[in-house]
Amino acid sequence: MDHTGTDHSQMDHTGTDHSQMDHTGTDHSQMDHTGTDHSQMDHTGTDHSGTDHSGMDHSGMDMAPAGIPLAGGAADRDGLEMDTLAVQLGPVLPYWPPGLVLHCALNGDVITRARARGLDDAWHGFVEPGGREAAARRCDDAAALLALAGASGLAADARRLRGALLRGDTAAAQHGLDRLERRVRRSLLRWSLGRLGVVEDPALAQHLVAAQAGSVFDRLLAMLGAARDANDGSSGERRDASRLIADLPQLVTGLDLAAARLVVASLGLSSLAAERGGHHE
Amino acid sequence: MSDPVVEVDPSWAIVGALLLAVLVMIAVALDGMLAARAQGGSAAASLRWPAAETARLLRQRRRSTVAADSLLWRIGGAGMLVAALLKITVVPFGEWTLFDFEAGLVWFNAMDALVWALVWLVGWGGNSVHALVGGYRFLALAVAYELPLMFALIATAIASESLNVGDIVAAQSELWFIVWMPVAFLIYSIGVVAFSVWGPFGSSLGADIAGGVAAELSGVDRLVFFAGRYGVLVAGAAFAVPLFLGGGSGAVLPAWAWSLLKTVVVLAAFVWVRRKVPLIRPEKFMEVGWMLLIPAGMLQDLLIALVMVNR
Repeated sequence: MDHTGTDHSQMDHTGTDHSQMDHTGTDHSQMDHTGTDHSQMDHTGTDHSGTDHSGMDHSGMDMAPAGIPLAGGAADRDGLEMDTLAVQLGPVLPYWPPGLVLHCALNGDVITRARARGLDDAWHGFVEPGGREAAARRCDDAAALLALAGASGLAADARRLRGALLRGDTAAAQHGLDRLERRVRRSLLRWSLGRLGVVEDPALAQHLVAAQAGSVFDRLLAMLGAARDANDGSSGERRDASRLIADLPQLVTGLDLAAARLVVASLGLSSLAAERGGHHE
Repeated sequence: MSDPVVEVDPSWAIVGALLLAVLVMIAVALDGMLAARAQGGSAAASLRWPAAETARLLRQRRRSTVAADSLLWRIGGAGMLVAALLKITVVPFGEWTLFDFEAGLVWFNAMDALVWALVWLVGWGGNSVHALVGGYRFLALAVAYELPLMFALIATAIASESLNVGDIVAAQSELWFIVWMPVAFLIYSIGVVAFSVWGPFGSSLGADIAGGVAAELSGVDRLVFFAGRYGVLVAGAAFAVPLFLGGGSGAVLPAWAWSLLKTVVVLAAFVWVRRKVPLIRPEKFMEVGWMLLIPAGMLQDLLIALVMVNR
């Protein structure tokens, strides 16, 4: 059931979450300092409680409660100072390309700086357009994007189509893909995703192939189109994962986490990594 | 003139709480059935799920995070259920009410403003990035839904010339408010779904941030938070009945049965909408809230005020 599914993913996350916390400490060298400070302060705290040192004590405690340094500040988009958190997304998250790591600096929930890397070889080189299995992977990509966009019914449809494709039920899958595309076109997703993730920088836009042009909504339709093409044997585009990863920081900087997750999911990196992985074997 | 509603002995609050629990169970089971239908799962399993999940969470050991702000975290987690219970005190059940308060409408509104703080505290308390981001999202959403919701509530007060929920029901003896203020009803419904962090307004609990404000909740904390979240959805559905649907009025059946029936219908609609509308990100809803819902709500209020003045 849907509920239990979400639950589990949440549990998984908690693990990742903690490691992100740790990171915050190790990433920032100045933060480390406050960590050390804190232990000294602790001592003085027990020695002279209630003296004028207590003010200093207090600030020392606040800098690193329980050994975790507080977030540093940085100017936000509006020029006002805001907490900055160092957060690592990936390598494992629900609806996230496996093995992709995005190191972000977050102001509130807005990504102000990002660095991306792929964990292994699967992320390098080109992927040639393929057949039925490639179509199924494209359905996976679409299902992940739809799930992130909160369209659980459509996401379930995409997952069912993936099953049909892997079973070899190509005729039904073709029909289902047409139907899914119509339903997506009619849905509110056009409104919610239609203006998101449009690449304005011409140099960056040049890197993106036709399937990645336009908004997140356009890319969703392109994914479904690519699944259909792969299924009926017409050739699609060659895709390059390493190049996309290099462009990723530029694509997500300035977006909030929700938008960034949607943009990353719209690039179809999961199927790229999966296919590269397959080629190696 | 006889009072439209009678205040009952406070000990009936226990029955009220049980009723809330039953309606929560109905909402959970209905949501599970719709999920099963959408994803091809077993409907029977989804009916068992509320009980099974309750048992699982009661047995689960409570986890905590490093440097969690436990006090505020617990206040936020348990608060949702408390807010739901406080809300239903002013909702008449047929002709009975627990709290026949002069300003019942304001009381309800105060409770849903409380939800702002509660959801934020749950997000804050766990000292975790994803939960905190969920908290931010809820506040952004709240800025967009709360004002339209207030205008919708005001519409019923203008039309009944009272803030007392019993008087609001009495004012609908000839015509239900939903008929001549459909915009207010629609805005009210959007507000309820939003303050319940439900469906299209569930981005604070989003899968993209590991469950958002609930990311670090476990065991009994998780159970109480989600029960409370369903609780405020139920309370919102129940309050729509006296506000817009004529309260307990109806043919044949006793008033309490009509109250219950109407509540279940509204609740079912709220539950159903979850799977029909994709997630609305707070920044998108901000446009809708401020550019569309606030002007629409104000126009609705103006229209009703003009009708009332010229009567």
